[in-house]
Amino acid sequence: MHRLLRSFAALTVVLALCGSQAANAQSPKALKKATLMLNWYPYGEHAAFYYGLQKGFFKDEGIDLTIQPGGGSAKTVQAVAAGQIQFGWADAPSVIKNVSAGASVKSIGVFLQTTPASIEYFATQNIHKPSDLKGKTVAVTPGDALFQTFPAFLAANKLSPDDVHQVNIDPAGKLAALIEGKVDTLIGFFNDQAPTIEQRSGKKVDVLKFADHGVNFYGTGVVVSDDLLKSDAPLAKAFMKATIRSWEEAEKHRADAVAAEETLAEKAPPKDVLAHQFDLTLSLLHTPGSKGKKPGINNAKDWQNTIDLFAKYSEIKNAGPPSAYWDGSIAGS
Amino acid sequence: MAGSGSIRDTLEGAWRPALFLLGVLVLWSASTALGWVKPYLVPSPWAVVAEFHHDGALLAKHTEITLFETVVGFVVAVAVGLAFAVAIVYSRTVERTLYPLLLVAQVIPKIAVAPLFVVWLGFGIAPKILVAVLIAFFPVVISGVAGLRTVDPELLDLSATMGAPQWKTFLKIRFPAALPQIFAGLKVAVTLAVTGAVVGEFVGANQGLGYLLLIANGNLNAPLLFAGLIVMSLIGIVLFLLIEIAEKFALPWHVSRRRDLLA
Repeated sequence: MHRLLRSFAALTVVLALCGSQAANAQSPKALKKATLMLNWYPYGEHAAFYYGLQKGFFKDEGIDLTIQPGGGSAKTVQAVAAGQIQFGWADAPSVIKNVSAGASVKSIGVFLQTTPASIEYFATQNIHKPSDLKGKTVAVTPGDALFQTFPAFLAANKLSPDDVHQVNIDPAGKLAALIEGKVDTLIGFFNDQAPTIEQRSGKKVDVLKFADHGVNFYGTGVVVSDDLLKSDAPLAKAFMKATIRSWEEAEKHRADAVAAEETLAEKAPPKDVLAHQFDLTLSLLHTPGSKGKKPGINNAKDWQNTIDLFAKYSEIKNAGPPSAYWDGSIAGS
Repeated sequence: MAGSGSIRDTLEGAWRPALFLLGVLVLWSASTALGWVKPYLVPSPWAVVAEFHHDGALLAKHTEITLFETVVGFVVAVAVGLAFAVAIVYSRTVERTLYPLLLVAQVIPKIAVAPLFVVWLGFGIAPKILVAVLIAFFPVVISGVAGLRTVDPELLDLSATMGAPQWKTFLKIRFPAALPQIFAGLKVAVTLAVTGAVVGEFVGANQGLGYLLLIANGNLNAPLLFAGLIVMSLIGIVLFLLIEIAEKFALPWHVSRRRDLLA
Protein backbone atom coordinates (compact mmCIF):
# COMPACT_ATOMS: atom_id res chain seq x y z
CA MET A 1 0.00 0.00 0.00
CA HIS A 2 2.77 2.42 0.94
CA ARG A 3 4.71 1.50 -2.19
CA LEU A 4 1.62 2.09 -4.34
CA LEU A 5 1.03 5.51 -2.79
CA ARG A 6 4.66 6.52 -3.21
CA SER A 7 4.81 5.54 -6.89
CA PHE A 8 1.50 7.28 -7.51
CA ALA A 9 2.85 10.49 -5.92
CA ALA A 10 6.02 10.24 -8.00
CA LEU A 11 4.00 9.77 -11.18
CA THR A 12 1.90 12.85 -10.37
CA VAL A 13 4.99 14.99 -9.86
CA VAL A 14 6.52 13.80 -13.12
CA LEU A 15 3.33 14.49 -15.05
CA ALA A 16 3.04 17.96 -13.53
CA LEU A 17 6.58 18.79 -14.58
CA CYS A 18 5.95 17.53 -18.11
CA GLY A 19 2.76 19.53 -18.26
CA SER A 20 4.42 22.80 -17.36
CA GLN A 21 7.23 22.18 -19.83
CA ALA A 22 4.72 21.53 -22.60
CA ALA A 23 2.87 24.75 -21.71
CA ASN A 24 6.13 26.69 -21.95
CA ALA A 25 6.88 25.16 -25.34
CA GLN A 26 3.45 26.28 -26.66
CA SER A 27 3.47 29.86 -25.43
CA PRO A 28 5.62 31.63 -28.11
CA LYS A 29 2.88 31.83 -30.79
CA ALA A 30 -0.45 30.06 -30.65
CA LEU A 31 -1.73 29.57 -34.19
CA LYS A 32 -5.47 29.69 -34.75
CA LYS A 33 -6.78 26.48 -36.23
CA ALA A 34 -8.96 26.93 -39.29
CA THR A 35 -10.37 24.72 -42.00
CA LEU A 36 -10.86 25.54 -45.65
CA MET A 37 -13.35 23.37 -47.51
CA LEU A 38 -12.86 23.32 -51.27
CA ASN A 39 -15.65 23.31 -53.79
CA TRP A 40 -14.83 19.81 -55.04
CA TYR A 41 -12.04 17.26 -54.82
CA PRO A 42 -8.63 18.89 -55.27
CA TYR A 43 -7.84 19.78 -58.85
CA GLY A 44 -5.61 22.36 -60.58
CA GLU A 45 -7.71 25.35 -59.51
CA HIS A 46 -6.59 24.81 -55.90
CA ALA A 47 -2.83 24.79 -56.46
CA ALA A 48 -2.43 28.27 -54.96
CA PHE A 49 -3.86 27.15 -51.62
CA TYR A 50 -1.54 24.17 -51.38
CA TYR A 51 1.39 26.41 -52.36
CA GLY A 52 0.49 28.89 -49.64
CA LEU A 53 0.15 26.06 -47.14
CA GLN A 54 3.53 24.62 -48.06
CA LYS A 55 5.35 27.97 -48.03
CA GLY A 56 3.83 28.92 -44.69
CA PHE A 57 1.90 31.98 -45.89
CA PHE A 58 -1.03 31.01 -43.69
CA LYS A 59 1.24 30.36 -40.71
CA ASP A 60 2.71 33.84 -41.21
CA GLU A 61 -0.78 35.23 -40.67
CA GLY A 62 -1.25 33.11 -37.56
CA ILE A 63 -3.43 30.45 -39.14
CA ASP A 64 -2.92 26.72 -38.81
CA LEU A 65 -4.84 25.74 -41.94
CA THR A 66 -6.33 22.38 -42.88
CA ILE A 67 -7.66 21.95 -46.42
CA GLN A 68 -10.62 19.62 -46.91
CA PRO A 69 -12.13 18.45 -50.18
CA GLY A 70 -15.75 19.39 -50.81
CA GLY A 71 -18.68 17.90 -52.64
CA GLY A 72 -19.99 20.82 -54.68
CA SER A 73 -20.13 24.54 -53.98
CA ALA A 74 -23.64 24.28 -52.57
CA LYS A 75 -22.55 21.82 -49.87
CA THR A 76 -19.52 23.95 -49.03
CA VAL A 77 -21.62 27.09 -48.59
CA GLN A 78 -24.03 25.17 -46.37
CA ALA A 79 -21.18 23.81 -44.26
CA VAL A 80 -19.96 27.39 -43.76
CA ALA A 81 -23.49 28.55 -42.92
CA ALA A 82 -23.83 25.78 -40.36
CA GLY A 83 -20.58 26.83 -38.69
CA GLN A 84 -18.92 23.49 -39.37
CA ILE A 85 -15.95 25.12 -41.14
CA GLN A 86 -14.57 28.63 -41.11
CA PHE A 87 -13.72 29.16 -44.77
CA GLY A 88 -15.34 27.84 -47.91
CA TRP A 89 -14.10 27.90 -51.50
CA ALA A 90 -17.36 28.08 -53.40
CA ASP A 91 -18.81 29.77 -56.44
CA ALA A 92 -20.82 32.98 -56.48
CA PRO A 93 -24.05 31.39 -57.79
CA SER A 94 -24.14 29.10 -54.75
CA VAL A 95 -23.56 32.06 -52.44
CA ILE A 96 -26.38 33.98 -54.10
CA LYS A 97 -28.73 30.98 -53.96
CA ASN A 98 -28.06 30.29 -50.31
CA VAL A 99 -28.15 33.90 -49.14
CA SER A 100 -31.48 34.45 -50.92
CA ALA A 101 -32.81 31.38 -49.13
CA GLY A 102 -31.79 32.78 -45.77
CA ALA A 103 -28.28 31.47 -45.12
CA SER A 104 -26.08 33.88 -43.18
CA VAL A 105 -22.95 33.80 -45.29
CA LYS A 106 -20.96 36.29 -47.32
CA SER A 107 -18.37 36.11 -50.01
CA ILE A 108 -15.28 38.03 -49.00
CA GLY A 109 -13.72 37.93 -52.45
CA VAL A 110 -14.21 36.07 -55.72
CA PHE A 111 -10.97 34.93 -57.33
CA LEU A 112 -12.21 33.30 -60.53
CA GLN A 113 -13.89 36.48 -61.71
CA THR A 114 -14.54 35.12 -65.17
CA THR A 115 -16.62 32.00 -65.05
CA PRO A 116 -15.01 28.82 -66.38
CA ALA A 117 -18.45 27.52 -67.33
CA SER A 118 -18.32 26.08 -70.83
CA ILE A 119 -19.62 23.50 -73.22
CA GLU A 120 -16.89 20.87 -73.60
CA TYR A 121 -16.58 18.29 -76.39
CA PHE A 122 -14.08 16.36 -78.44
CA ALA A 123 -12.59 18.48 -81.25
CA THR A 124 -13.86 15.87 -83.72
CA GLN A 125 -17.40 17.15 -83.10
CA ASN A 126 -16.46 20.21 -85.21
CA ILE A 127 -18.33 22.68 -83.07
CA HIS A 128 -16.95 26.20 -83.46
CA LYS A 129 -19.86 28.42 -82.53
CA PRO A 130 -23.02 28.07 -80.43
CA SER A 131 -25.27 27.49 -83.44
CA ASP A 132 -23.26 24.31 -84.19
CA LEU A 133 -24.85 22.86 -81.03
CA LYS A 134 -28.18 22.41 -82.79
CA GLY A 135 -29.22 18.79 -82.60
CA LYS A 136 -26.41 17.73 -80.28
CA THR A 137 -26.80 16.04 -76.90
CA VAL A 138 -25.59 17.99 -73.89
CA ALA A 139 -24.91 16.32 -70.56
CA VAL A 140 -26.07 18.43 -67.62
CA THR A 141 -26.45 17.81 -63.89
CA PRO A 142 -29.86 18.88 -62.63
CA GLY A 143 -29.82 21.42 -59.83
CA ASP A 144 -26.27 22.73 -60.14
CA ALA A 145 -25.22 26.26 -61.14
CA LEU A 146 -24.33 25.24 -64.71
CA PHE A 147 -27.79 23.74 -65.13
CA GLN A 148 -29.28 27.06 -64.07
CA THR A 149 -27.12 29.24 -66.33
CA PHE A 150 -27.43 27.06 -69.45
CA PRO A 151 -30.76 28.70 -70.38
CA ALA A 152 -28.95 32.06 -70.22
CA PHE A 153 -26.31 30.76 -72.62
CA LEU A 154 -28.95 29.45 -75.02
CA ALA A 155 -30.92 32.69 -74.90
CA ALA A 156 -27.83 34.87 -75.39
CA ASN A 157 -26.94 32.88 -78.51
CA LYS A 158 -30.42 32.82 -80.02
CA LEU A 159 -30.91 29.11 -79.39
CA SER A 160 -34.06 27.59 -77.97
CA PRO A 161 -34.03 24.79 -75.36
CA ASP A 162 -35.45 22.48 -78.03
CA ASP A 163 -32.42 22.99 -80.27
CA VAL A 164 -30.30 20.79 -78.05
CA HIS A 165 -31.07 17.47 -76.41
CA GLN A 166 -30.34 17.74 -72.67
CA VAL A 167 -29.42 14.57 -70.82
CA ASN A 168 -29.21 14.53 -67.03
CA ILE A 169 -26.20 12.80 -65.48
CA ASP A 170 -24.43 13.19 -62.14
CA PRO A 171 -21.16 15.19 -62.27
CA ALA A 172 -18.80 12.21 -62.30
CA GLY A 173 -20.90 10.31 -64.80
CA LYS A 174 -20.74 13.23 -67.26
CA LEU A 175 -17.07 12.62 -68.01
CA ALA A 176 -17.55 8.89 -68.54
CA ALA A 177 -20.52 9.54 -70.79
CA LEU A 178 -18.55 11.96 -72.96
CA ILE A 179 -15.50 9.72 -73.18
CA GLU A 180 -17.70 6.71 -74.04
CA GLY A 181 -19.40 8.74 -76.72
CA LYS A 182 -22.84 8.49 -75.11
CA VAL A 183 -23.22 12.28 -75.27
CA ASP A 184 -21.84 14.78 -77.76
CA THR A 185 -21.00 17.53 -75.27
CA LEU A 186 -21.15 18.31 -71.62
CA ILE A 187 -21.45 21.48 -69.56
CA GLY A 188 -18.61 21.90 -67.13
CA PHE A 189 -15.73 24.08 -66.07
CA PHE A 190 -13.10 24.06 -68.78
CA ASN A 191 -10.32 24.39 -66.23
CA ASP A 192 -11.46 21.14 -64.62
CA GLN A 193 -12.85 18.51 -66.99
CA ALA A 194 -11.14 19.42 -70.28
CA PRO A 195 -7.57 18.60 -69.15
CA THR A 196 -8.78 15.46 -67.39
CA ILE A 197 -10.67 14.20 -70.44
CA GLU A 198 -7.74 14.95 -72.72
CA GLN A 199 -5.38 13.02 -70.53
CA ARG A 200 -7.77 10.05 -70.11
CA SER A 201 -8.76 9.73 -73.72
CA GLY A 202 -5.72 11.11 -75.53
CA LYS A 203 -8.04 13.13 -77.76
CA LYS A 204 -8.20 16.89 -78.02
CA VAL A 205 -11.04 18.69 -76.25
CA ASP A 206 -12.50 21.98 -77.50
CA VAL A 207 -14.70 24.33 -75.53
CA LEU A 208 -17.31 27.03 -76.04
CA LYS A 209 -16.79 29.34 -73.07
CA PHE A 210 -19.91 30.97 -71.68
CA ALA A 211 -17.82 34.11 -71.05
CA ASP A 212 -16.91 34.34 -74.72
CA HIS A 213 -20.51 34.01 -75.81
CA GLY A 214 -22.43 36.60 -73.89
CA VAL A 215 -22.76 35.03 -70.45
CA ASN A 216 -20.17 36.03 -67.90
CA PHE A 217 -20.51 35.88 -64.15
CA TYR A 218 -18.41 35.42 -61.05
CA GLY A 219 -17.03 31.97 -60.24
CA THR A 220 -15.28 30.60 -57.14
CA GLY A 221 -14.10 32.62 -54.19
CA VAL A 222 -13.82 32.65 -50.43
CA VAL A 223 -16.99 32.35 -48.36
CA VAL A 224 -17.38 32.91 -44.62
CA SER A 225 -20.32 32.99 -42.25
CA ASP A 226 -21.77 36.26 -40.95
CA ASP A 227 -21.01 34.96 -37.45
CA LEU A 228 -17.30 34.80 -38.22
CA LEU A 229 -17.31 38.33 -39.59
CA LYS A 230 -18.94 39.50 -36.39
CA SER A 231 -16.90 37.51 -33.91
CA ASP A 232 -13.48 37.35 -35.55
CA ALA A 233 -13.10 39.67 -38.52
CA PRO A 234 -9.29 39.79 -37.99
CA LEU A 235 -9.15 36.04 -38.72
CA ALA A 236 -11.06 36.57 -41.96
CA LYS A 237 -8.76 39.46 -42.90
CA ALA A 238 -5.66 37.38 -42.11
CA PHE A 239 -6.97 34.46 -44.20
CA MET A 240 -7.77 36.73 -47.13
CA LYS A 241 -4.32 38.34 -46.93
CA ALA A 242 -2.63 34.94 -46.97
CA THR A 243 -4.88 33.73 -49.78
CA ILE A 244 -4.20 36.76 -51.98
CA ARG A 245 -0.47 36.33 -51.35
CA SER A 246 -0.72 32.60 -52.19
CA TRP A 247 -2.41 33.33 -55.51
CA GLU A 248 0.10 36.05 -56.45
CA GLU A 249 3.09 33.88 -55.58
CA ALA A 250 1.64 30.76 -57.15
CA GLU A 251 1.15 32.62 -60.41
CA LYS A 252 4.85 33.50 -60.40
CA HIS A 253 5.94 29.98 -59.47
CA ARG A 254 3.46 27.77 -61.29
CA ALA A 255 5.53 24.59 -61.34
CA ASP A 256 6.20 24.83 -57.62
CA ALA A 257 2.54 25.44 -56.88
CA VAL A 258 1.54 22.38 -58.88
CA ALA A 259 4.21 20.34 -57.11
CA ALA A 260 2.84 21.52 -53.74
CA GLU A 261 -0.64 20.33 -54.62
CA GLU A 262 0.66 17.01 -55.91
CA THR A 263 2.44 16.45 -52.58
CA LEU A 264 -0.08 17.78 -50.12
CA ALA A 265 -3.44 16.88 -51.65
CA GLU A 266 -4.67 13.32 -51.34
CA LYS A 267 -5.60 11.73 -54.63
CA ALA A 268 -5.02 14.81 -56.77
CA PRO A 269 -4.99 14.37 -60.56
CA PRO A 270 -1.66 13.61 -62.23
CA LYS A 271 0.91 16.42 -62.33
CA ASP A 272 0.53 17.31 -66.01
CA VAL A 273 -3.27 17.54 -65.65
CA LEU A 274 -2.83 19.72 -62.55
CA ALA A 275 -0.43 22.01 -64.39
CA HIS A 276 -2.77 22.37 -67.36
CA GLN A 277 -5.75 23.03 -65.05
CA PHE A 278 -3.86 25.65 -63.05
CA ASP A 279 -2.68 27.46 -66.19
CA LEU A 280 -6.25 27.65 -67.45
CA THR A 281 -7.44 28.84 -64.03
CA LEU A 282 -4.95 31.72 -63.98
CA SER A 283 -6.58 33.14 -67.10
CA LEU A 284 -9.81 33.68 -65.16
CA LEU A 285 -8.68 35.97 -62.35
CA HIS A 286 -9.84 39.31 -63.70
CA THR A 287 -12.61 41.13 -65.47
CA PRO A 288 -12.12 44.35 -67.42
CA GLY A 289 -13.34 46.08 -64.26
CA SER A 290 -10.65 44.60 -62.01
CA LYS A 291 -7.63 44.74 -64.31
CA GLY A 292 -4.48 45.67 -62.45
CA LYS A 293 -5.95 44.88 -59.05
CA LYS A 294 -4.76 42.05 -56.83
CA PRO A 295 -6.59 38.73 -57.19
CA GLY A 296 -9.68 38.48 -55.00
CA ILE A 297 -10.49 42.19 -55.13
CA ASN A 298 -14.04 42.60 -56.44
CA ASN A 299 -16.19 45.56 -57.35
CA ALA A 300 -19.90 46.24 -56.97
CA LYS A 301 -20.53 46.44 -60.72
CA ASP A 302 -19.27 42.93 -61.40
CA TRP A 303 -21.28 41.62 -58.47
CA GLN A 304 -24.42 43.34 -59.70
CA ASN A 305 -23.91 41.74 -63.12
CA THR A 306 -23.77 38.28 -61.55
CA ILE A 307 -26.73 38.95 -59.27
CA ASP A 308 -28.90 40.22 -62.14
CA LEU A 309 -28.10 37.17 -64.25
CA PHE A 310 -29.05 34.75 -61.49
CA ALA A 311 -32.12 36.65 -60.39
CA LYS A 312 -33.35 36.28 -63.95
CA TYR A 313 -32.66 32.58 -64.48
CA SER A 314 -33.09 31.09 -61.01
CA GLU A 315 -36.12 31.44 -58.79
CA ILE A 316 -34.77 34.35 -56.79
CA LYS A 317 -37.18 37.05 -55.70
CA ASN A 318 -35.91 40.35 -54.26
CA ALA A 319 -32.30 39.82 -55.20
CA GLY A 320 -30.94 42.74 -53.22
CA PRO A 321 -27.73 44.73 -53.67
CA PRO A 322 -24.18 43.33 -53.77
CA SER A 323 -23.73 44.09 -50.09
CA ALA A 324 -26.23 41.36 -49.28
CA TYR A 325 -23.83 38.79 -50.71
CA TRP A 326 -20.35 40.29 -50.51
CA ASP A 327 -18.27 42.07 -47.94
CA GLY A 328 -15.49 43.87 -49.77
CA SER A 329 -13.90 45.37 -46.68
CA ILE A 330 -12.17 42.15 -45.64
CA ALA A 331 -9.96 41.91 -48.69
CA GLY A 332 -9.23 45.60 -48.72
CA SER A 333 -8.29 47.07 -52.05
CA MET B 1 -61.63 -14.48 -39.63
CA ALA B 2 -63.25 -11.93 -37.34
CA GLY B 3 -66.02 -9.80 -38.87
CA SER B 4 -66.99 -6.30 -37.73
CA GLY B 5 -64.84 -6.77 -34.67
CA SER B 6 -61.74 -6.26 -36.77
CA ILE B 7 -62.90 -2.80 -37.88
CA ARG B 8 -63.33 -1.75 -34.27
CA ASP B 9 -59.96 -3.28 -33.48
CA THR B 10 -58.37 -1.32 -36.34
CA LEU B 11 -59.84 1.92 -35.06
CA GLU B 12 -58.84 1.16 -31.51
CA GLY B 13 -55.34 0.37 -32.66
CA ALA B 14 -55.18 3.46 -34.86
CA TRP B 15 -55.38 6.11 -32.18
CA ARG B 16 -51.84 5.53 -30.96
CA PRO B 17 -50.05 6.11 -34.25
CA ALA B 18 -52.48 8.96 -34.99
CA LEU B 19 -51.57 10.61 -31.71
CA PHE B 20 -47.88 10.09 -32.44
CA LEU B 21 -48.23 11.67 -35.88
CA LEU B 22 -50.08 14.60 -34.31
CA GLY B 23 -47.25 15.01 -31.83
CA VAL B 24 -44.70 15.00 -34.65
CA LEU B 25 -46.72 17.60 -36.53
CA VAL B 26 -46.90 19.85 -33.46
CA LEU B 27 -43.15 19.54 -32.86
CA TRP B 28 -42.42 20.19 -36.52
CA SER B 29 -44.63 23.32 -36.62
CA ALA B 30 -43.12 24.59 -33.39
CA SER B 31 -39.54 24.13 -34.48
CA THR B 32 -40.03 26.01 -37.73
CA ALA B 33 -42.22 28.72 -36.17
CA LEU B 34 -39.74 29.29 -33.34
CA GLY B 35 -36.79 29.32 -35.70
CA TRP B 36 -35.02 26.27 -34.24
CA VAL B 37 -34.23 25.18 -37.80
CA LYS B 38 -33.54 27.31 -40.87
CA PRO B 39 -36.49 27.43 -43.31
CA TYR B 40 -34.32 26.59 -46.27
CA LEU B 41 -33.31 23.33 -44.56
CA VAL B 42 -36.62 22.33 -42.97
CA PRO B 43 -39.81 23.98 -44.23
CA SER B 44 -42.86 24.48 -42.06
CA PRO B 45 -45.61 21.86 -42.51
CA TRP B 46 -47.91 24.51 -43.96
CA ALA B 47 -45.33 25.41 -46.61
CA VAL B 48 -45.25 21.74 -47.59
CA VAL B 49 -49.05 21.60 -47.78
CA ALA B 50 -49.00 24.73 -49.96
CA GLU B 51 -46.40 23.04 -52.13
CA PHE B 52 -48.66 20.00 -52.68
CA HIS B 53 -51.42 22.38 -53.66
CA HIS B 54 -49.18 24.42 -55.94
CA ASP B 55 -47.21 21.64 -57.62
CA GLY B 56 -49.68 18.78 -57.29
CA ALA B 57 -49.76 17.95 -60.97
CA LEU B 58 -45.96 18.06 -61.24
CA LEU B 59 -45.57 15.73 -58.25
CA ALA B 60 -48.20 13.36 -59.63
CA LYS B 61 -46.51 13.16 -63.00
CA HIS B 62 -43.11 12.32 -61.54
CA THR B 63 -44.55 9.99 -58.93
CA GLU B 64 -46.15 7.90 -61.66
CA ILE B 65 -42.75 7.29 -63.24
CA THR B 66 -41.01 6.38 -60.01
CA LEU B 67 -43.93 4.14 -59.06
CA PHE B 68 -43.64 2.29 -62.35
CA GLU B 69 -39.88 1.80 -61.90
CA THR B 70 -40.43 0.63 -58.32
CA VAL B 71 -43.13 -1.90 -59.14
CA VAL B 72 -41.34 -3.35 -62.14
CA GLY B 73 -38.08 -3.44 -60.20
CA PHE B 74 -39.80 -5.17 -57.30
CA VAL B 75 -41.48 -7.80 -59.48
CA VAL B 76 -38.21 -8.60 -61.23
CA ALA B 77 -36.39 -8.66 -57.88
CA VAL B 78 -38.91 -11.17 -56.50
CA ALA B 79 -38.68 -13.38 -59.57
CA VAL B 80 -34.88 -13.29 -59.61
CA GLY B 81 -34.61 -13.60 -55.85
CA LEU B 82 -36.89 -16.60 -55.58
CA ALA B 83 -35.18 -18.27 -58.52
CA PHE B 84 -31.85 -17.87 -56.75
CA ALA B 85 -33.34 -19.11 -53.48
CA VAL B 86 -34.71 -22.27 -55.09
CA ALA B 87 -31.41 -22.91 -56.88
CA ILE B 88 -29.48 -22.45 -53.63
CA VAL B 89 -31.72 -24.78 -51.66
CA TYR B 90 -31.74 -27.54 -54.27
CA SER B 91 -28.05 -27.53 -55.15
CA ARG B 92 -25.06 -27.41 -52.83
CA THR B 93 -22.77 -26.38 -55.71
CA VAL B 94 -24.97 -23.45 -56.60
CA GLU B 95 -25.12 -22.47 -52.96
CA ARG B 96 -21.34 -22.45 -52.59
CA THR B 97 -20.71 -20.47 -55.77
CA LEU B 98 -23.62 -18.08 -55.62
CA TYR B 99 -23.81 -17.04 -51.96
CA PRO B 100 -20.49 -15.13 -51.85
CA LEU B 101 -21.38 -13.38 -55.13
CA LEU B 102 -24.74 -12.37 -53.75
CA LEU B 103 -23.11 -10.96 -50.66
CA VAL B 104 -20.69 -8.90 -52.74
CA ALA B 105 -23.56 -7.60 -54.85
CA GLN B 106 -25.40 -6.60 -51.69
CA VAL B 107 -22.51 -4.89 -49.99
CA ILE B 108 -21.41 -2.73 -52.92
CA PRO B 109 -23.10 0.68 -52.54
CA LYS B 110 -25.46 0.94 -55.48
CA ILE B 111 -24.98 4.68 -55.78
CA ALA B 112 -21.38 3.96 -56.77
CA VAL B 113 -22.31 1.56 -59.57
CA ALA B 114 -25.43 3.34 -60.78
CA PRO B 115 -23.41 5.75 -63.01
CA LEU B 116 -21.90 2.71 -64.76
CA PHE B 117 -25.38 1.41 -65.51
CA VAL B 118 -26.32 4.76 -67.00
CA VAL B 119 -23.31 4.67 -69.30
CA TRP B 120 -24.02 1.06 -70.33
CA LEU B 121 -27.79 1.04 -70.51
CA GLY B 122 -28.47 4.62 -71.54
CA PHE B 123 -30.65 7.27 -70.02
CA GLY B 124 -34.02 5.54 -70.15
CA ILE B 125 -35.86 3.61 -67.52
CA ALA B 126 -33.70 0.48 -67.63
CA PRO B 127 -30.84 1.57 -65.32
CA LYS B 128 -33.29 2.73 -62.65
CA ILE B 129 -35.11 -0.61 -62.70
CA LEU B 130 -31.79 -2.40 -62.56
CA VAL B 131 -30.70 -0.46 -59.47
CA ALA B 132 -34.08 -1.16 -57.85
CA VAL B 133 -33.67 -4.88 -58.60
CA LEU B 134 -30.13 -4.97 -57.22
CA ILE B 135 -31.11 -3.31 -53.98
CA ALA B 136 -34.31 -5.28 -53.47
CA PHE B 137 -33.49 -8.85 -54.42
CA PHE B 138 -31.18 -9.75 -51.54
CA PRO B 139 -33.85 -9.87 -48.77
CA VAL B 140 -35.97 -12.00 -51.11
CA VAL B 141 -33.13 -14.48 -51.55
CA ILE B 142 -32.29 -14.68 -47.88
CA SER B 143 -35.89 -15.04 -46.72
CA GLY B 144 -36.58 -17.46 -49.57
CA VAL B 145 -33.69 -19.71 -48.58
CA ALA B 146 -34.62 -19.55 -44.91
CA GLY B 147 -38.26 -20.28 -45.68
CA LEU B 148 -37.61 -23.14 -48.06
CA ARG B 149 -35.40 -24.77 -45.45
CA THR B 150 -37.89 -24.55 -42.57
CA VAL B 151 -40.21 -27.19 -43.90
CA ASP B 152 -40.87 -30.03 -41.48
CA PRO B 153 -38.60 -32.90 -42.62
CA GLU B 154 -41.29 -35.40 -41.71
CA LEU B 155 -43.58 -33.86 -44.32
CA LEU B 156 -40.81 -34.27 -46.89
CA ASP B 157 -40.44 -37.93 -45.90
CA LEU B 158 -44.21 -38.38 -46.18
CA SER B 159 -44.16 -36.87 -49.62
CA ALA B 160 -41.32 -39.16 -50.70
CA THR B 161 -43.02 -42.30 -49.38
CA MET B 162 -46.19 -41.36 -51.26
CA GLY B 163 -44.12 -41.18 -54.44
CA ALA B 164 -44.57 -37.48 -55.19
CA PRO B 165 -42.17 -36.04 -57.80
CA GLN B 166 -39.83 -33.19 -56.73
CA TRP B 167 -41.83 -30.45 -58.38
CA LYS B 168 -45.05 -31.57 -56.67
CA THR B 169 -43.29 -31.69 -53.30
CA PHE B 170 -42.04 -28.19 -53.96
CA LEU B 171 -45.40 -26.83 -55.03
CA LYS B 172 -47.59 -28.48 -52.41
CA ILE B 173 -45.32 -28.68 -49.38
CA ARG B 174 -42.07 -26.71 -49.54
CA PHE B 175 -43.30 -23.52 -51.12
CA PRO B 176 -46.41 -23.02 -48.96
CA ALA B 177 -44.28 -23.72 -45.88
CA ALA B 178 -41.81 -21.08 -47.02
CA LEU B 179 -44.42 -18.38 -47.66
CA PRO B 180 -44.44 -16.77 -44.19
CA GLN B 181 -40.69 -16.16 -44.40
CA ILE B 182 -40.90 -15.09 -48.01
CA PHE B 183 -43.58 -12.53 -47.23
CA ALA B 184 -41.33 -11.07 -44.55
CA GLY B 185 -38.60 -10.70 -47.16
CA LEU B 186 -41.05 -9.18 -49.63
CA LYS B 187 -42.02 -6.49 -47.16
CA VAL B 188 -38.38 -5.46 -46.75
CA ALA B 189 -37.75 -5.71 -50.48
CA VAL B 190 -40.61 -3.45 -51.51
CA THR B 191 -39.37 -0.57 -49.38
CA LEU B 192 -35.87 -1.04 -50.74
CA ALA B 193 -37.20 -1.05 -54.30
CA VAL B 194 -38.48 2.51 -53.80
CA THR B 195 -35.04 3.61 -52.60
CA GLY B 196 -33.42 1.84 -55.54
CA ALA B 197 -35.58 3.55 -58.12
CA VAL B 198 -34.88 6.97 -56.60
CA VAL B 199 -31.12 6.32 -56.35
CA GLY B 200 -31.14 5.35 -60.01
CA GLU B 201 -32.88 8.63 -60.81
CA PHE B 202 -30.35 10.64 -58.82
CA VAL B 203 -27.65 9.49 -61.16
CA GLY B 204 -29.23 10.13 -64.53
CA ALA B 205 -32.86 10.93 -65.12
CA ASN B 206 -35.09 13.43 -66.80
CA GLN B 207 -38.11 12.51 -64.75
CA GLY B 208 -39.17 10.85 -61.56
CA LEU B 209 -39.13 11.76 -57.87
CA GLY B 210 -35.34 11.43 -57.66
CA TYR B 211 -34.94 13.97 -60.43
CA LEU B 212 -37.43 16.26 -58.67
CA LEU B 213 -35.52 15.93 -55.41
CA LEU B 214 -32.29 16.97 -57.17
CA ILE B 215 -33.94 20.02 -58.69
CA ALA B 216 -35.49 20.93 -55.34
CA ASN B 217 -32.12 20.49 -53.62
CA GLY B 218 -30.30 22.60 -56.21
CA ASN B 219 -32.86 25.37 -55.96
CA LEU B 220 -32.95 25.20 -52.16
CA ASN B 221 -36.67 24.57 -52.52
CA ALA B 222 -37.17 22.87 -49.16
CA PRO B 223 -40.99 22.58 -49.43
CA LEU B 224 -40.68 20.73 -52.74
CA LEU B 225 -37.92 18.53 -51.30
CA PHE B 226 -40.06 17.55 -48.33
CA ALA B 227 -43.13 17.08 -50.50
CA GLY B 228 -41.12 14.69 -52.68
CA LEU B 229 -39.82 12.80 -49.64
CA ILE B 230 -43.32 12.48 -48.22
CA VAL B 231 -44.63 11.10 -51.50
CA MET B 232 -41.73 8.65 -51.62
CA SER B 233 -42.58 7.45 -48.12
CA LEU B 234 -46.24 7.11 -49.06
CA ILE B 235 -45.33 4.93 -52.04
CA GLY B 236 -43.35 2.69 -49.72
CA ILE B 237 -46.15 2.55 -47.16
CA VAL B 238 -48.87 1.82 -49.71
CA LEU B 239 -46.87 -0.96 -51.35
CA PHE B 240 -46.03 -2.40 -47.93
CA LEU B 241 -49.72 -2.45 -47.00
CA LEU B 242 -50.58 -4.14 -50.30
CA ILE B 243 -48.15 -6.93 -49.45
CA GLU B 244 -49.65 -7.22 -45.97
CA ILE B 245 -53.10 -7.63 -47.53
CA ALA B 246 -51.77 -10.20 -49.99
CA GLU B 247 -50.21 -12.04 -47.06
CA LYS B 248 -53.51 -12.05 -45.20
CA PHE B 249 -55.18 -13.78 -48.14
CA ALA B 250 -52.31 -16.16 -48.81
CA LEU B 251 -51.71 -17.23 -45.24
CA PRO B 252 -55.00 -17.23 -43.36
CA TRP B 253 -53.92 -20.44 -41.62
CA HIS B 254 -50.64 -19.07 -40.25
CA VAL B 255 -50.04 -18.80 -36.51
CA SER B 256 -49.55 -15.03 -36.74
CA ARG B 257 -53.09 -14.69 -38.08
CA ARG B 258 -54.70 -16.74 -35.30
CA ARG B 259 -54.59 -13.80 -32.93
CA ASP B 260 -57.19 -12.02 -35.06
CA LEU B 261 -59.53 -15.02 -34.76
CA LEU B 262 -59.22 -15.17 -30.99
CA ALA B 263 -59.91 -11.45 -30.55
